Amino acid sequence: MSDRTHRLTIADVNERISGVVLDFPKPKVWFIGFAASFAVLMLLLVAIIWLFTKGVGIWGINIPIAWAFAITNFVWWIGIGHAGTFISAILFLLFQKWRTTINRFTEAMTLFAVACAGLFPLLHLGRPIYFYWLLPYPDTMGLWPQFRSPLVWDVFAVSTYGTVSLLFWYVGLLPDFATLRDRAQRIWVRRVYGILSWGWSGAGRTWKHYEKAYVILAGLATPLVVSVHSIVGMDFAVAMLPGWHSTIFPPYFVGGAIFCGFAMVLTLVIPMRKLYHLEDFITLRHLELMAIVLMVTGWIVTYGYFSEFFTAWWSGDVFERYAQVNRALGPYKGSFWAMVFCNCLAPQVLWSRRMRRCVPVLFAIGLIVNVGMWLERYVIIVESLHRDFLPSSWGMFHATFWDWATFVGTIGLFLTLIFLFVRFIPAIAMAELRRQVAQPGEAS
Amino acid sequence: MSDTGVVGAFISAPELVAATREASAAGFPHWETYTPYPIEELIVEKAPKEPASPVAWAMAIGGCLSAAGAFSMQEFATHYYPIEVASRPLSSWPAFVPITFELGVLGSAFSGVIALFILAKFPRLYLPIHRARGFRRASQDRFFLILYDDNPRFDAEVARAFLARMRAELIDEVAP
Amino acid sequence: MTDRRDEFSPDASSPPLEMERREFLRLAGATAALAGLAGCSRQPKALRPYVVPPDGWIPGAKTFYATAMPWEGFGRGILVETHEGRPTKIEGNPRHRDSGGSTDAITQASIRDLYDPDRSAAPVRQGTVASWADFSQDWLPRWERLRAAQGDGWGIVIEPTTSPTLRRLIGEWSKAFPKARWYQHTALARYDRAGTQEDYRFAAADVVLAIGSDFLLNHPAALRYTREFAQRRKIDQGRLNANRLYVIESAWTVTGGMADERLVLAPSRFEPVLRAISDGLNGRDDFASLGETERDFAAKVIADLRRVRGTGLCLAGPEQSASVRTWTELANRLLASEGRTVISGAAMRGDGDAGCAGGLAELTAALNAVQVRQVCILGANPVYTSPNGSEFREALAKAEYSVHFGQYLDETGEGCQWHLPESHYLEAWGDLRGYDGTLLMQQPLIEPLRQGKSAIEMMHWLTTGLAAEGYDIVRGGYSVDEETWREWLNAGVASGSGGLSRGGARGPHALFDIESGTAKHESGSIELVIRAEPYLRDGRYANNAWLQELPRPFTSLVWDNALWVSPEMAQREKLATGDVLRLTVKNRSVEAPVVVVNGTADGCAIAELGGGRRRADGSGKGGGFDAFALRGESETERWLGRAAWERTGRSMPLVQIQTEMETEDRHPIWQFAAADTEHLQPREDPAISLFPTPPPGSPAAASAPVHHRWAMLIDLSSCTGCSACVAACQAENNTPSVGKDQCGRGRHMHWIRVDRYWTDGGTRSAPQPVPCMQCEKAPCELVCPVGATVHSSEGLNEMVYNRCVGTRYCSNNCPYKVRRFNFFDFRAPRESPLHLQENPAVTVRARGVMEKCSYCVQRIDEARIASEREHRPLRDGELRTACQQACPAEAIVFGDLSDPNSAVLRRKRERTHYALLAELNTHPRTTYLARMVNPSV
Repeated sequence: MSDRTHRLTIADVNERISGVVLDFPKPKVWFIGFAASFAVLMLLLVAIIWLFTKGVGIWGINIPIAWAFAITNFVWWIGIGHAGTFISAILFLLFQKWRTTINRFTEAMTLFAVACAGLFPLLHLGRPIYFYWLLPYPDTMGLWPQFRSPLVWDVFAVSTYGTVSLLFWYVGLLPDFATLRDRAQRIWVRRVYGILSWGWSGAGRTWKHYEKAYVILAGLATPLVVSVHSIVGMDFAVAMLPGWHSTIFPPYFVGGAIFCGFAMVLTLVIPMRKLYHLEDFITLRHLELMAIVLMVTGWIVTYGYFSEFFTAWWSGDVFERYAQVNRALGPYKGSFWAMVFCNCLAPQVLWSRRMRRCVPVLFAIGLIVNVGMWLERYVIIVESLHRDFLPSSWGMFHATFWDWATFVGTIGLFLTLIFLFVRFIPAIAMAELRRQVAQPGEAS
Repeated sequence: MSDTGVVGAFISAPELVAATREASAAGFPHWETYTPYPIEELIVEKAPKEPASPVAWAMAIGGCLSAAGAFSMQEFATHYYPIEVASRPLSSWPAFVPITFELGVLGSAFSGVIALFILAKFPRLYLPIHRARGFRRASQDRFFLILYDDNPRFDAEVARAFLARMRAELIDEVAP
Repeated sequence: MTDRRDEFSPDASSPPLEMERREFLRLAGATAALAGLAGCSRQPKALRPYVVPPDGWIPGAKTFYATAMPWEGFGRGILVETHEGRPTKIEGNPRHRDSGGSTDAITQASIRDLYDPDRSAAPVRQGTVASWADFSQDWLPRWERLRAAQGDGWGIVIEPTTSPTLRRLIGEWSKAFPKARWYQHTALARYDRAGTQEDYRFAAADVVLAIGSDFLLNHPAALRYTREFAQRRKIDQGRLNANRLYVIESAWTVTGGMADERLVLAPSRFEPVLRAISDGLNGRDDFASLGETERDFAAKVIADLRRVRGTGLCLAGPEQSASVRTWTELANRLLASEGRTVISGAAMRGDGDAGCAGGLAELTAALNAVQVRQVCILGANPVYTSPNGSEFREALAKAEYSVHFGQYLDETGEGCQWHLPESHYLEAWGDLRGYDGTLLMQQPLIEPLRQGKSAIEMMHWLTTGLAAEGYDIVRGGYSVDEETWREWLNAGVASGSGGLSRGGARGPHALFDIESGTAKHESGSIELVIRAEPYLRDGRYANNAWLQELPRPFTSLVWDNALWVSPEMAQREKLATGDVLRLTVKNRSVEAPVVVVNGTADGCAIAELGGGRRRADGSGKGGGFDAFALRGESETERWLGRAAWERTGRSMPLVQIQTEMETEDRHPIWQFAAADTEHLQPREDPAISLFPTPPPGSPAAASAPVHHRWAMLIDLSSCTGCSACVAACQAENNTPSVGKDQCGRGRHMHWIRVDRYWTDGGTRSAPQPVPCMQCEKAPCELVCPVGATVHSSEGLNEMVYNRCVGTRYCSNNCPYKVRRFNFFDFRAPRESPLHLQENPAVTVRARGVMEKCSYCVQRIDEARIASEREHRPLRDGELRTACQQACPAEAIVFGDLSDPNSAVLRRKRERTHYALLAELNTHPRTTYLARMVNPSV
């Protein structure tokens, strides 16, 4: 068990955590941060308006590179979301008590990441107004979507993932909303949280059903998180394009997703715990454990890269071989080697315990891995497309201002939501923490 | 069954558990606890007397139904409007697996949460016990036990005495 | 829709045509009247508005009319498709041998010019819009005075033409004005020598030696030559009667691309090599003066030409020096080819007309000497196309009265006091002769959209001072009875015409020789080879977006012309494609971007005419560099020269559609040597699949049994890569032009593209047309989430525009990358007249949808409906796709696989049949016959 949590009392938990919401400390810092991210969100708004006025041609995409930033960002965001579910569901089932202090936050991260991801499949359509033709309903002619297409699988995977994560998160929030309701001074605040808590009273009977529902939801979320990114991986694996057509994609996408997600957790949690003095909740030990996960998944990803090269070489297929060689030595070799540095080399510093416990280093690694994982998707998508079977149709992709604006804009959206979250919702699961504080014996 | 009676607030979970163990013997067959976090003992010990939570069943059935629905939807759609796609057979079942799975999970999750809300009688913004003194701490750091007054032999004084004996920090009565 | 204006499309940038729909229909009435033609019951002068359809007129049905297209003054028989009196598409006229039913890219694209919003719409006086009335007011008094003065001081410039009527009129004019002078100006080649022209019979030629000649593209009879030449390249039921083509040239031409043996030479080396060859033919081998490769080549040529006495053929491009052309004449005589493979006869075009006062040089002199004070320029654009534009412009300014008559208000129109609009050839009555001498009838498809007059009407007016209808003028020249006349109009060709009258036999010549060339290599200076731009010719088509956007053979450049240099020179001088050089000839200098092309003679630079128009609207603006400034006046200096060059340090973006021409260890092209034909192993198709292969159309099988299985075959042995198919497809399927910027971003929209790969280490080049392969197991279909691309019961891979949401996944999964996407709204602005050209049977695609080759499904349906109406099965060959119909080499075969004796099935049984990327197991319906080469052993 963690070195300091046991010294906490239930009272600390209640006061300090709900205090962040109810007493709203450090308003200046919050407002500055919120304003900044909101400004970036407005950039996204402009980018989208321009996109809908002119068409996807404002991006750098072309034939043969018909997908680039939009899909890269989509996969990246989805991946980030996965760490949230992984932490809150899988670690829950594994009785990893240390997760309780961060699961609320990471679940929120999941939701917001999925929201950002969900934008792109819509935006990248040539005719976005008809996005609903991908939904399962017969049109006037009785025609349904074409269910063999991975893009339709995506629709179901992503929407299911978003919904289930939301339910899981909200169920977890019920008792904490009740706490806020009961601690709040102003009447309307109490009313709002009262309604949000649906009148939670903490009756033994309710707890019983609650525990059951929560554990099974966690059980569901576990295969879900694996399936979602496998399906995203199949967007590529199903295609016959050299560099995409590979059976390793599903597992290696899942690994990469968790890798990227934990990196994002670090980059978000470290500033937050500093800002609200939550060091006794989110302790060095938590960070260290996350660093270890980061290193493990980092190796999974590295293995993925290796096996891609190996299978290409082993297959003896001229197209596959060229695709891999072209990644490493072709016109885009810069982004490939940058990716290798970020995802394979950088995390290796975490072998040393000192580094694992050095907060600034963890923060830096987190950022680096996020960049690296974005590059990975870029490498897979753009570098496979730009040189495929017939040399006559090879081409190059050059990102435009609007490519970047749309991408950066979604980061604004993400941060805006995060700021609203820490402002209005307890960022740490109080009910679970109370139980842990009160019954330390039970923990791990 | 009524939901009024005598309420006692305890400082710690063990005390509450102790009280609940005595309650029935002391002639209070109907009682309920209100705690800031779930307490294993209570759930475990209540289990034999009460049926296990049906949430699990709800989720299992809901999941299976929607999975079946998803698969048959895809089969139906491809046969209802037959189009030749990449000269694949109309029922290319392997391609239908992902959606079947996803919708299964979705259905299961929904039925679970709905079941929870129904069983917990949500939304229920008011309970008589809310009138009990200091009950707002039930969601924070106090452990409440209410002995229901719905059996003929119930006597408020005896109840108060019982709770006092169990070292309830504060005792109050919730009248109808 | 002003917001559409700026959407990159060159069409979008053009101003709307001031013409109401009503007005258009009135004009279209002209063709409505022509409708009766089929029944020979037409009153040509009667205009009936379409709102009251004539009898036997079926709305929605398309009608074809025969007419003729002028190609550098030569006639080319064409059939024009019209819808409700609206010409939309041009096909070749099978009755005319020079066309044989096929067309080239320029003919296909010329339909667009008819609706070009930039065509001049009214007379312009000193830059201000006027009317014909103003002009005649201003002109007639002057004309009276000129008549009184017997035309003294009056000069007329025309482009050489084959039109009997026009030449008659010129004769009448010079009779009426004995003191007046008329000049002929063409910026391009003369195809005759001293009044005789040579015509070739490639069907009969076993060995061809082409010296700097692009007879397969850059020649009035190129279509016939291509057809005859290609026949000798095709494998037919395993048998092959291959000819052999030797080419000596300084840089790739379409003809050079077909060479079996190709010798890359700087022009200055031509003559030594030719001398060695003639010596060899004369029986004394002397290769002392030759290099290694030159010697091998010469030896092979001599051996082969000796072998095939009588069926050999030597030809030189009209751009070649007099001595080279004489050499070929003498060689043919020595080889007894005259009358067999080469036939010389009287020139069809009036270049050599007696009474012509000469060309531009003479006119300039006359203007400067004030011998010519009034000048009328008909059709030509000398200010741009004269070697020394500025000089001529100044001379022109000296004239006290200058009139320009042309389709565009171009450089010359700007330099003249008056500009008068000329009608498009589809708007005018006339007559022309093909290179083969066939007399072609030119009838209008529509009344002039832009109040233009035809050259014939203009010439008649200048002669008589009376305006007359073109019809009467032309008809007046023919004393045939009405029936014959109508017959001619129906057919488009005058029966019994054609065939070259033998020219006078030249004196015998036992031994022949060639005066030695002067090959000197100065540093900083470079040998210039000047030639016509393959599609813009002398720049007259600069305003045609389709032609501008047609990838050029070998460079795949679009929207710019560039200076070709060899890779050796590029390496030596550290030049890269796009670097801008300053070339200086005499006192004139031009800045030109460089394109590095292998197979270019080292120390040579190839400059193509037709770029850098100074005064052109819309698409023509800018675009490359003006090579005319590099030209000298003399006949040889027109095509060959020397230029000093220096770097400018600048570089400009050139757009090449195909950036990679190496095959990179892939095998898109299967090439075989004619000698090995017998030993070829057929490639069978690896039909392995995890899925059971249902018969095509299985899901629909219950509803409709499968009647047809459409398929296409492309014979790479005969394909020359002329890109006629691309232009034809664009005209048929309403595919937009997207402009240079969008092309540079990889968003060109052609449904069929002509790939080119270097083979045999870059010594050969193989073109490969790639339309949609219509895969039976189409990867695109599998991944489309909305079922917007699905398979038809007849095996077509169909694109449903209405259903497409634009995920572009299909394109990612297409191994052939033949799908095209509307990244923007590429349509012309709503009010643009260009919409009038569009094929009503084909949807115009909106923004954000995918599109691709449909095997011309509209034509399939049309043919099917016709056959069903007549209760008969579809006949093989009655249905042709646009690309197939245009192809002069007949390299594209389309048909029904379930018809046991269809041509396509027969051709697919050849030993050389193969599918592109067959290993991917997509089962394409479009397949290829391997590329045959016939090197001498």
